Amino acid sequence: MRLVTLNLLMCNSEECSGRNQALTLNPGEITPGTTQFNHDLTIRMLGKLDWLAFVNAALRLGHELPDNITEADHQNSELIQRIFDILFNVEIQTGELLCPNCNRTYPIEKGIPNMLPQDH
Amino acid sequence: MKSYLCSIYAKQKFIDFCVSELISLSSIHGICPETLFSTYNLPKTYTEYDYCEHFLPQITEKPFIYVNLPNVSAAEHIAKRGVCIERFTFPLAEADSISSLVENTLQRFNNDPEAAQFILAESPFAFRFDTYQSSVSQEEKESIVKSFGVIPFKGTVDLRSPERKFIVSISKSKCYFGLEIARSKDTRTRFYAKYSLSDREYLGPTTTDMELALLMANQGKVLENSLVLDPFVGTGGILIAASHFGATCFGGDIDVRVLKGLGVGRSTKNTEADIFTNFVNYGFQKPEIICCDTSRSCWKSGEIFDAIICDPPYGVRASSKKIKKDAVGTILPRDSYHGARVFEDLLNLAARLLRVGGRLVYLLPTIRNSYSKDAVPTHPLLKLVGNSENILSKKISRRLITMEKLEAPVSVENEEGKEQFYAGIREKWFLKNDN
Repeated sequence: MRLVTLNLLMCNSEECSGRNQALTLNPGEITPGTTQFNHDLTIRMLGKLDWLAFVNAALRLGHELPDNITEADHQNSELIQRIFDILFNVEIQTGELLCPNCNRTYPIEKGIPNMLPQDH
Repeated sequence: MKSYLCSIYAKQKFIDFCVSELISLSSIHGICPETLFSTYNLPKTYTEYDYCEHFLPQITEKPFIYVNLPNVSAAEHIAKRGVCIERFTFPLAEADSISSLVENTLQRFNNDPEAAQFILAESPFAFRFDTYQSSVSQEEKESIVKSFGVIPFKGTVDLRSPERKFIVSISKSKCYFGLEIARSKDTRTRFYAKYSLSDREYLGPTTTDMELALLMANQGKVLENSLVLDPFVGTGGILIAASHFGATCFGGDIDVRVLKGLGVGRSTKNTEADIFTNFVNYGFQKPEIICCDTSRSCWKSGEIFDAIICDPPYGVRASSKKIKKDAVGTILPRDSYHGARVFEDLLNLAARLLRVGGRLVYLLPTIRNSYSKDAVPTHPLLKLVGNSENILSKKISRRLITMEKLEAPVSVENEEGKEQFYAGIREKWFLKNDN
């Protein structure tokens, strides 16, 4: 799982339903990705991301990003490249996703988060 | 706008989807079906469904459709990614017999300077034959070429690498003559030959046929940097097709075993393969995979995806025998999840996650004698743009359904009856297959 996906997922417990509740990552093994830089894809993603949640997730993994991003930043190729690498080239192989609202956890194994209820 | 002749060529089992594919790929270039088929003066009220009904009955006998496209590069782009589209030609003549075909070509040459310039060009050229449902011997071909001698072609003949290819197309009821402007294959194989299932390292019993997966990606108008979701991803066959067109892919499945290579998905080469293996082998960006339940979505609401493409657990991907075998537990890990609900959940998911104008593409199994148009699931935020039938036997078929996300909801007819139609369709499917 990459950070791009973390940003698109929400807690699906009964308690959090309808809240679009973002999840926090507790990473285990992380491997570097090899996805080739794609400027246009990064710009497209900027329009879809919850930026603050992304900044916080990145910070927990030691990557600092500006608090907000403007149209002018789209021309900043160094920044766009950095955003791309954090979005697409940090691969979380193991770990867990934690819901800060209901405290439910979702395990990540072999790079795949398991969002099914525990009793499944 | 230019008029071209499009030749259709597809395996029998996919021929039903050719008109839909042509419409979808043209719409990528901003061409609506009304413009695309304006040569035929069809009613303005025609929907994609009506166009399919209009063209399909004769397509196996006469697989040619006149289309209007903005330019050669649009035709090239469509031919390059079409599964059912063989080539586009600049049409020079049409006739019922070869002798009148030559006559008509000559007339066109004398009266139309644009057509004449293709014949008078100095570059090397050759004749090629395209025959449908009729065989033409080598001697006959030679005599046909000779009969075209009355037209003053310029340039030298080069059979190996001609710059101009004149195509003589012969079908049971019509012949055509034209200059090729775009073709789906340059060599003997089509662009997707390298994705053959038998060469794939990771495979499941219901991995989507590659041609079907590409057809579905074409219906979804998947382009470079599209974001595509398959919520019933299985071994990832549909996302391989989307990746070929440059999409960034996301997949979900309720069965964690098929994702990790522990269940029905398996390695064909005794390796530790999983859902990511094929993507790595083809040099694609790895898809993002989530183990989740579509009825309890874990995706945040928002206009995230450009296309949602899938074969829901009912979908019929392999031969009918295989389906029967797979029906025991493997396709459908949760017994309670059937009837209309799987489609209801899918449409709700699409309405919640597609961008406006984004497309939902899926396969809908149908019992032919109890099918009615009204049984196709509806949603106030999704407009039905494609519904083509792929007949599998006298009794059963599957439909390729394409819907587009609307900006604002429209009212839909009441949903009563649909539940009933789909409750038990699974049982009926397998029962009818046995007959």
